[in-house]
Amino acid sequence: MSTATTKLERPHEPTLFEQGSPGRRGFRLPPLDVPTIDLARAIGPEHLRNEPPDLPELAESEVVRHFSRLAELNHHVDRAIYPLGSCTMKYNPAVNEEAASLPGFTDLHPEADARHAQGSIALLYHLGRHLAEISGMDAVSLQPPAGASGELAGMLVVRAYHADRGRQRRKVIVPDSAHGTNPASVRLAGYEAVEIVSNAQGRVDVDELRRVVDGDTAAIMITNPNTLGVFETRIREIVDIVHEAGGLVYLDGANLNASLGIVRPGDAGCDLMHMNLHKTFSTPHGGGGPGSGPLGVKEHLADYLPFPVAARDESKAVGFEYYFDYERPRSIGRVHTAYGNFLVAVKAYAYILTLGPEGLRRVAENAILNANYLQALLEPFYDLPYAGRCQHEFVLAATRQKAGTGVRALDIAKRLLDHGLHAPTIYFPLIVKEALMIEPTETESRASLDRFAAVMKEIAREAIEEPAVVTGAPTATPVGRLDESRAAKELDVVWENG
Amino acid sequence: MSEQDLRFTETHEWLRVEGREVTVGLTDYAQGELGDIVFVELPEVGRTISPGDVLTTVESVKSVSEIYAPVSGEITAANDALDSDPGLVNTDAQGEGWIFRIKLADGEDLSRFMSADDYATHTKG
Amino acid sequence: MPYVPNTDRDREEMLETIGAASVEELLADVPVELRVEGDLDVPGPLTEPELLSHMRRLASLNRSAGDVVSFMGGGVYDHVVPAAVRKITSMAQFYTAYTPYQAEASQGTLQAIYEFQTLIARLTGLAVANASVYDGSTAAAEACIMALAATRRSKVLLAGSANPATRTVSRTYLAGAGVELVELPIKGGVTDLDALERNLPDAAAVVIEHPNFFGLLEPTSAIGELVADSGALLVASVDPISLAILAPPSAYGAAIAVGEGQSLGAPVAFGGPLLGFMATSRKHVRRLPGRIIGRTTDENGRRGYVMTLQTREQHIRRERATSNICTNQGLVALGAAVHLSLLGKEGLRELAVQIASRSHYAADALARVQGVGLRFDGPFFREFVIELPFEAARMKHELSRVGIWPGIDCGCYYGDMKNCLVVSVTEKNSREDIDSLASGIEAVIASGGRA
Repeated sequence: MSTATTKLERPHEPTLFEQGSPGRRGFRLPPLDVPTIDLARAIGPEHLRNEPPDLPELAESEVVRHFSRLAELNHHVDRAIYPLGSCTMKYNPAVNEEAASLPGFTDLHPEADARHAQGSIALLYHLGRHLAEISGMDAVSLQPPAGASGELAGMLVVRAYHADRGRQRRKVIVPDSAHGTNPASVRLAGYEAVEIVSNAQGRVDVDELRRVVDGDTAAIMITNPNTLGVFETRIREIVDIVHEAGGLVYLDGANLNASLGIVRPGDAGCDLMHMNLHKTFSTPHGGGGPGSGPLGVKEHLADYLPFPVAARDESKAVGFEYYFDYERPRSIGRVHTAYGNFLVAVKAYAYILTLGPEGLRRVAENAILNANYLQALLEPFYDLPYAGRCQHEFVLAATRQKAGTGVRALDIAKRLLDHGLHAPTIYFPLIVKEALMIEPTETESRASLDRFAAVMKEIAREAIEEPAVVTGAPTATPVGRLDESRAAKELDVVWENG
Repeated sequence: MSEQDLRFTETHEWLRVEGREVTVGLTDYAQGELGDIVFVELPEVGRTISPGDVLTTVESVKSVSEIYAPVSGEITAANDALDSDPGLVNTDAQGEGWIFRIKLADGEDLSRFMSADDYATHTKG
Repeated sequence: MPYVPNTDRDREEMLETIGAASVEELLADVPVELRVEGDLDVPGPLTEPELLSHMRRLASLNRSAGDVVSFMGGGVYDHVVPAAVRKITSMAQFYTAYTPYQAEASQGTLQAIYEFQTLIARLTGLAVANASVYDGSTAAAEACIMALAATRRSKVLLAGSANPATRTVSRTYLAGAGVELVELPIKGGVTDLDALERNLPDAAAVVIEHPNFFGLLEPTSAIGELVADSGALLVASVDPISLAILAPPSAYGAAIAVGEGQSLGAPVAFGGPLLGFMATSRKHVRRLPGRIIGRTTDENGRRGYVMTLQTREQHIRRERATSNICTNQGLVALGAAVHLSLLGKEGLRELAVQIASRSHYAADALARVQGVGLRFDGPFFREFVIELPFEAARMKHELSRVGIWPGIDCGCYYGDMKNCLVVSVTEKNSREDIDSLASGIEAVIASGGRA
């Protein structure tokens, strides 16, 4: 307590709505060089608002300082390791940001004629080709603005495929280790999600799969490597079982980072998949988006992709080379207002070109090396429910700590924050009790991994010797452990002046 | 009324029978597993129900427990007090924390449900 | 290797710790017959200067708004973006963070999004808002899904006057839900009230856009009154800037307000990233999709923020979640919050008045051109429709040769409007721009369709 008494308590940052002063402004508009209209006459009094919306009134310096102070409260990947499993929080290269800020890209309107948008359409076309090559798919749509959107588009492709074959099917099989978005997307597409249990190695139980698959199976949604960081070694058999029953194989590409240049889902027989540009292809996560979740499909599903599709005519019959193909009668429709998160695509394209084929393979190899190295360092101190070599990530369990002194995965996560490190994904996958799911990525140096391991080791020691330190964490963060139960009970999601 | 007068389901609902009316709630064991309860969705009064229907949910911060219809009948009341104080399910699960009442359909009987002792054994297994 | 710190020596020592002889050994689980043979057929590697030179060349193949006088809108608008917006959204603390799963280390993102929610609530007049969805179209589709669940009905009425993107994306999203989707016919450029009334029984949602695709103001009071007694939820897709002067959705009985927020501080960017916002009443808060940030306290009573009502979401409720959305548009929402704070109460109103004034000036100027007429006579906000003596596509083509993009060709979306253009105006369109548009159109018409 002696240190606590000398420590200055930092006040919380007031909201925008508690700052400023009437009449203050942070930005001036260009002068109005046409007559000001009489709103009541031109628009009609019945359409007008009685009171202007109560927005803050601040100077530019106040706005910038407010948000800069808020920025200081965030952990971020430019600062230190951010080992959220299945989120692939790799370093976001600076040059990609520069490429994506070129005015030629930022200032082009989506309704521009194709002849005036050759650079952007070419980029979408070629990025689609590169992603097809990397994944082993034949055609790619960059329209889905996030992974879950790619999943929904994919499930709607599955739906359209079966509808064309004259009989709709009812269910989609999802392993119990899957991301929550999988069953949610299945349901949104009008299918029933049928969960199958994983076997003792954390893989799809192939015998169980045989029992579950039947003529009503529209597809299986499989993640490979899966969320336990384990490669589905029997992927070919899984594909064959589903194909023989007339179903399709959807691959959740969230963990594609481990496969770059090593194995392609398309070669394993998968029919369609989404990729996450904000994971595998290094685009920043933005505090929760914008992401990008392109959908790749094999030839037999290409007609169903969202329209329009970026296309190329080298003969330039219409006077230019790249265009959007809107003539897609079998398309599932659009899943985005325009062409997806275009500026995110620019960054992913820049990333692929920077790395080249050799570099992409090195990404996967080092992601796997880093994960296995960290697993080896941590294995003595935590339980490892699925032992053996891992791919890009691995899952520890705090079961030993919980049984011993009651320290839970949540406490360990909070204690990591005290050390200026981010926590792993916790309590996921759901099939592991007290799960700590760790994905270091290839952009962490050995020193960074060593430091993370040292802190984890220290926390394991604390869990035994001074558990209150762990369960009382965090204490070095801007706020202490927050009351989530109060947030849900006394719902306050909008500032109401008090 | 003591716990011995209640009946229990495998899906962790308790039932208290008074004539043809049955009061239903979440068992004390189940509320302990869920932790701090932050929300109880109340079923629509007047709704006709059959066994197995999902009637409501009881939620903690990070989990959801579904309450199934144990019997057929009609919902006659819902515990509005849970709207403002869902924590009643934590503090008095098998009393003030009741969730809804059902008027039993003709021919329904409750002999298939567990006694307090059987339920205690069930939750230990 | 780019972006991989490990050296060969690191690798050797790390393999030793692992107890493996080679990286190849770590790949043992990947069946050999599935391995990629040789190199992938992708270009590269490029160094930074090589990459930037390639990217600049690609970008130069585009003609962007800076090179032309543009009146393109249709939901995505070219506004002045204050430098401070980009300054904040370029801070690594924001853009290299992820979803605030660990609240105590993410208070910056959490508070910013809470403030964004508040701003959206204040604009729309509704009690609660979420942390954003992908764009205005998916926001409308998600609102339909909310209404279907809230009413337990299965019919959606969608205004034919709504943006084509709103309509086609909603159709895609609802394809799997077994929903009857009715597009309401247009009368005088706005929703046909008789058709609305006829189709209302058993509807779960009525979706209108206000101002609509043609820039026209919908008869919101009449629509609100009709829908109020029907048991359906009114979903209003609105232009956030217009809300500085137009009645908020809450005033005409909308249960859910959605919209495209790109105009709040984001560039047009070939249509992405965009920003979908959603607001509703407290009654429906548990049906909202996506992240919602709530205010709470820590164990010492200090104010703090967390993701709340997470039991709605896919990571907990899986197939019973309100939506499948996970990642949203956090950074764009942050930009919108910065943008609205910079403009403030007076600034946003001035912006809306400018847009209204400039668009009315433009409509008057174009209506005076021989051979040009305004297609509709109702009140409008930033966009309006002109009718030409020949196909709009030809006009667009001819004017683009002199550096003018006159608007969106209605013929692409409405078969009976091939001669019509939707002209969109922002504060960036000066009087000179507008006059040059009018004289350009006049010249093309005078020459019988040639610039």
